[in-house]
Parts: sequence; structure tokens; C-alpha cells
Amino acid sequence: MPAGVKWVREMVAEYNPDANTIVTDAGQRLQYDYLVVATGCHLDFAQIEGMDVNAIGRNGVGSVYPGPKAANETWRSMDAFRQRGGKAVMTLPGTPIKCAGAPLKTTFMLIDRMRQSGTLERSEIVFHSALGVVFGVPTLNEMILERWAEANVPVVFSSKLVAIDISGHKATFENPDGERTVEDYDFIHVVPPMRAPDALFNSPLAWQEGPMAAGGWLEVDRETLRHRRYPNVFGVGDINGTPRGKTAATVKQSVPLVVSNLIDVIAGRDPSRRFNGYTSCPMILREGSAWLIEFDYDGKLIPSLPLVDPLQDSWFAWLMKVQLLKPAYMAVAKGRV
Amino acid sequence: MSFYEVWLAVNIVWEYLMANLPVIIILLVAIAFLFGIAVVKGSPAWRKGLRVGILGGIVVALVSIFIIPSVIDSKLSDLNYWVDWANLFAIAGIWGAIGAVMLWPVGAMFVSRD
Repeated sequence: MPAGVKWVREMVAEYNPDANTIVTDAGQRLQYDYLVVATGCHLDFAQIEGMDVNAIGRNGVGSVYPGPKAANETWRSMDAFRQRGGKAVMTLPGTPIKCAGAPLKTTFMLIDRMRQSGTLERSEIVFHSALGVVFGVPTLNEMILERWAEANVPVVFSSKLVAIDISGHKATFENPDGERTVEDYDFIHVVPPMRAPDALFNSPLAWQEGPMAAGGWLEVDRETLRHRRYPNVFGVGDINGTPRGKTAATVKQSVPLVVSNLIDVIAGRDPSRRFNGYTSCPMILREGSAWLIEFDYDGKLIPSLPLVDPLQDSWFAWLMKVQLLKPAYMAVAKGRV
Repeated sequence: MSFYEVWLAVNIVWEYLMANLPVIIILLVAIAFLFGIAVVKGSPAWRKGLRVGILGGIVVALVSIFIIPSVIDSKLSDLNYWVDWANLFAIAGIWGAIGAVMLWPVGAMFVSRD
């Protein structure tokens, strides 16, 4: 922690932007002149009836989202499944999620691992998306669906995971008409719906209307990342109610921009820097190959390395993902970039 | 490319090196040891040894092209794009350079000055 910064190790329980105060879960009221909200998002497993996060890694249940331990347990569960084969059910919720590529990469990797184990031919993998797509960038959505069609992985659209019977190995899905279907599975990858943490969800800082209001996401201007109604408030990371971009790549690009804009505001100027929504999703297709995808708010591909075709299967893209992203995260975590 | 991107790249390289510090230390110690032995042994033929080092480095680079993909859990057949090959050659070149530096004092010790 840099010198001069007081680290209050308490969660925010209440935002009062009209009074420029927050209240912590320990009951401490703190006054601020400027506020930067960077709480991340809430994994709403509670929306899936019967889901138990502690069951991840057992009974064929996996979910990479709750943290490193869950990711490890998911891999163990997936590894056991791929050795024997059977039926895998992969899911995608209808809400904005962090690292929207993760459910897709998990599916690609499962296909690859099963192919390596020789169990793919006698197994079944089905992907349920609560949306009408599996990825928000149309070109990539089509390319992913083509790959899965080649691998005999059908996609059920507008199909939301609403309940799970962990001991019975059954998952219940619901379509927009409320009709329910039950899938048996030997392995399931559960991706929880996501939303703002309760404190923000229930505060005036959340979007009050529009597509981001349902998740209670922070109402920031998509270019300056400054709050649209409370000009002394900024947002960073997954909590922002902006299109796309709940990724580390977005954090990496937007943090320096928010710092710069905050300094402008403190100095009495208008925010001078504009964010284009940059995000990145190195899409692992199999061990040894990936697409190095970078795009903006509008889904326009904006490669950082102009000579590298983002839609080309690439060993180099895979190498970057597996070898260089961790050092990049470390540099960001240490506050150097 | 902005200053920020250059700074980011420098930091990524730094963190990568720090994550692989044991390997780097072992290589540096080995290089220092080989140069030390060559000097202590007396009358090393540095110029001729350099030729041995360069030739050895080329061999190491060529062998690395075939070995590197499998060492990092991939296959040579995964490379099907010129960018992939360019990067593999660059990485193999780095290992070739390390090999050349290590083989230079070895060559200097064992190659005759004449």
C-alpha cells in the first residue's frame, strides 16, 4: 500500500452519494470528496436453486468463477470426467459476466482434453446459453458456433440454468416462455448470473433505468467512466455499467484513464481522456492454439499488434495467453502499470 | 505505440524474468563458472573459441525449434501462421545466443591457438 494511503479493511455496506459518505459493514461512516468505486461484481449463485458453491469439484460440478480454489477443483472434476467420458452440460447466464470468454474457453478446452483422452467420440457435450448468442461480437460468435458444430457440440439458445440437483446430477433450464427442461449430466460447468454487490445495487449510484438497471451496475459515462449523475464519483472494473469489458484487459486500460480524469476533475477541469471500451479475450481453442481477440464497445476488432490477424488460429496467441498474461496481471496488481 | 504500452511491455518482461529467476540464476552462474574455468586454466583461445560458440549456438537454435513447442505443452504442428514461426525462431534464437555464450569459453579452452 503506498505511503499516505489509509487502508480501511471493511466492506462498504451503504453509499450515500448525496451526503458524500459511505458506511462500512463495521458501522464506520466515512466522508469523501471524490469516490472511486471498484468493488467488482457479485456472483449470484443464489439465482440457481439447489446450487452449492461448496459442491464445486464434487459430483461432477464445476465453476471457474468463485476463485482459484474453485478453478482448481473444476479442473480436477473436469479431468476425472474426461477420462471416463459421458455427458457434459456447459452454461452461460443472461446477465453481463466477467470474462465472458471463460465459459467458451472452458468448453473448447473440455473438447480438446476429451479428444486427447479418446473419450470425445463416445461422449456428449451440450452448451446452454441464456442469450441468443454465445459471444457478443457477431463475427466471433459465428466462428465459435462453426467450431462447435464441427465438434458436434450443439447449442441451446435462450435456455437459462435455474436449478440444479447436485446429488441427482440433473440441471433444469428455463426458456423465455417459462417452459422448463431437465438435462442429466455427468459434468456441468455452472456460470452464475452476475450483478452489482448489494450495497451498490441498492444505492442511488446504480443505473435507475435501461439495460444495466436490472443488475444494479454503476451508472458511469462509458467514455469518461465518471458517474453520470454524481460528478465526483468514478468507476473502475467489473462494477461499471458499460457495454462489454468486464475483463482484466479493460481494467489495465481504464485505470490510468480514470486516474487522469479524476486528477482533471480535482483540478477543476473536465475529464480529458476518453475510453473506447477496449477489452481483450485470448480465446483458447485447444492446447497450443488461440485467437488473440481485442475489441471496443462497438465490437470492432482493434488489434494492438497490427500485423497479427485476430481471427487466425495462432500458437503465438496461445503462448501469450499462457506465458505472458500472468506477468501482466502481476505488474497491474503491483500498481506499476 | 504509446509510452504506456512500452512501459507495460517492460514490466511484463520484468515480471516474467522474476517468475523464472531460479533458471536465470542457474544460467548466469553456469556462464560465470565456464568463463572462470577458461581464464583459470590459462591461455584461452578466445577468437577461435568464439567460432565454436557461434556454431554451437546455431545448433542449439536449430534443435530448440523442434523442442520448444513440446516443452511448453504444445506441438510443432500447432504453428500454421507466419507470426507463430517468427516468434518460435526468435525464442530459438535467444536459446541459441545463450548456448553460444556458454560454448564460447568451452571452445576457448579446448581449441588450439594454432
